[in-house]
Amino acid sequence: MNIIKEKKNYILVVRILLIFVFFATWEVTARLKLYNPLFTSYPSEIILDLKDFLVSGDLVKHTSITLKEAFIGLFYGTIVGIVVGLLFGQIQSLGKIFLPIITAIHGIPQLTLAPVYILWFGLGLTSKIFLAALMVFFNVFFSTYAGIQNIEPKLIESANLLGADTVQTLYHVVLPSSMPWILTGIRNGVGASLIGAIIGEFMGASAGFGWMIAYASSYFKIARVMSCIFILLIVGLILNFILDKAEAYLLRWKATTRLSFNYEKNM
Amino acid sequence: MSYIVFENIEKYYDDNHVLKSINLSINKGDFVTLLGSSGCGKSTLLRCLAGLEQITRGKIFLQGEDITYLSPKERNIGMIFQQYSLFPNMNVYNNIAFGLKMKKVDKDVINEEVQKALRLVDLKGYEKRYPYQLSGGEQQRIALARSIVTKPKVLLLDKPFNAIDAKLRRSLQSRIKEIHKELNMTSIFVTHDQEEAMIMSDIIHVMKNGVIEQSGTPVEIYRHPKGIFAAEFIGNHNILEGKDFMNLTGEEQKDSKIVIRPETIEISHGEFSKGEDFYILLGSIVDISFKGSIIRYMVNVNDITLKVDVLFDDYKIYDLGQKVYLKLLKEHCIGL
Repeated sequence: MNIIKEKKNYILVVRILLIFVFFATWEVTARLKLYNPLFTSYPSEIILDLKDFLVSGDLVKHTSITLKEAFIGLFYGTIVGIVVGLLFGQIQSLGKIFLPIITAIHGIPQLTLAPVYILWFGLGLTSKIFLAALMVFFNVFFSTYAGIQNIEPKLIESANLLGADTVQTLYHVVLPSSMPWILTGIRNGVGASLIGAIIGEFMGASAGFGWMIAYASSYFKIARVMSCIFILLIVGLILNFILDKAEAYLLRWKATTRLSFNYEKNM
Repeated sequence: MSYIVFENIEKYYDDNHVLKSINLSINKGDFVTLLGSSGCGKSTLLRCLAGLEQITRGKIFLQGEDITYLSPKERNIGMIFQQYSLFPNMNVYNNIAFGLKMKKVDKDVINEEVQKALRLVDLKGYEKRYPYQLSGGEQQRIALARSIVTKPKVLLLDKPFNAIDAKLRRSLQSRIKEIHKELNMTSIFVTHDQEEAMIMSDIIHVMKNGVIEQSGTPVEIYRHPKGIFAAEFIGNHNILEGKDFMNLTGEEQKDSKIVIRPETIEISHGEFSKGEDFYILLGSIVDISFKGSIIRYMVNVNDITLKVDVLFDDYKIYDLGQKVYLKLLKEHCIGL
């Protein structure tokens, strides 16, 4: 027990040390002008800017706009992705008709369509939500569909023999069994929703992180760009933490595989 | 009136003729085995009864009711599979309760029935575990509990022990026999293991290429196999060509094959007294294999090798190459 705990502490210490060394090197080399800090900024300047960002109220405003776009997109994209995935997975002829079409549309890099969506839905939130939702949809749909294809047919047969009708089988057997795949899709979807919202803002907006980053970099305010990236990093960490917890709960019935080649036996 | 009746069942997978006019009746409470090598159609027949496959032609009756076109959920038939197929996302309790929940049975009744089923398969206290936390044998017992808790009209067992090691398999076999007796539940069991079929069954149907070759009690089939296939499948019969048999006994022979069970042949180092109703042969032992309580001698008689099984006896062990006399009762030489 103690050895495991010691090892955990050791890993944590090394990790923090590495991060510290990275920022310290950044700070020192920038201040010594080993390169032009105009293009990179440096940690102390970024911290000051973050303070400004927060005090002026801009941080909360832009964060909430981008997150709102991303989350609404994530919500609709996930729901539609799961429903369509289940539908196509269950009704095979539907799947056969539409799968190549969806695959083809998915093949278009969605970002290239962002200007079109802005044309359709305007400069407001709708175009960003649409882009975010679409990107989430593809992630969730394909993983849900794959999940259903991977269900052991005998599970469905067992459910039928035990008296479950189609809807009951879907709810009690198909959906939970595909949950690992669906969650993978949602996990990728979280990232995709943020990308969708921010790219949408790049293309045309009056607020949000994407707008802020584009605006700041055009004025060479690199500290502000870095501040935005830092905030996004924190947001990403928090979302991943929540997803980990949700997954641990939803997949509590699944054995966790611990594959280890034990290279570090003697550590 | 039989409990289950298959009437002229035909089943094609595309051009592949899997079941060929199967006619079969099964009595209530019987433990019936479909025995055959893989691909003979035995599992398909089972799946047709469960409603998991549609038959191409014919009719299936259960308790006098035509169930040919009913969906699986309307048939009330329990089935356990080789792969256990427990719902991985449900714990043991919910797995067993599933069928009752689907029937909207009262919660207290469900609880009672689940406990009863768990007691029946000796897994009380396992309610909260998930399938991944159970061994193969435990999973199969839970699968059994799950299928009997709804009191199905028939229990189907599709090679349920294939993935289970030999020792555990034997204990599961006897557990299933006990449960079958206790609940008097008509059961149909599919296997390719003749020993398993003999241990478990009231009636065995030997299947080959989509046809039922022979039906009967284990003893009947063992003693009087009809056809080479049944003979090869059940027991370890000596199967001789008619002319070889003529060569051995010097008697005219009309049948093309003669089947002799190895344990019916008597062996001795001294000559037997002659008689009307048996043949005496002289041969030499070419191989000996020890199988626990039984010793099998391979005896060469005029370049024909016969298997002879003898109960292990310290005082009567023959050596390799030793000359021995064999005594074959005529009634044990079955012509096919």
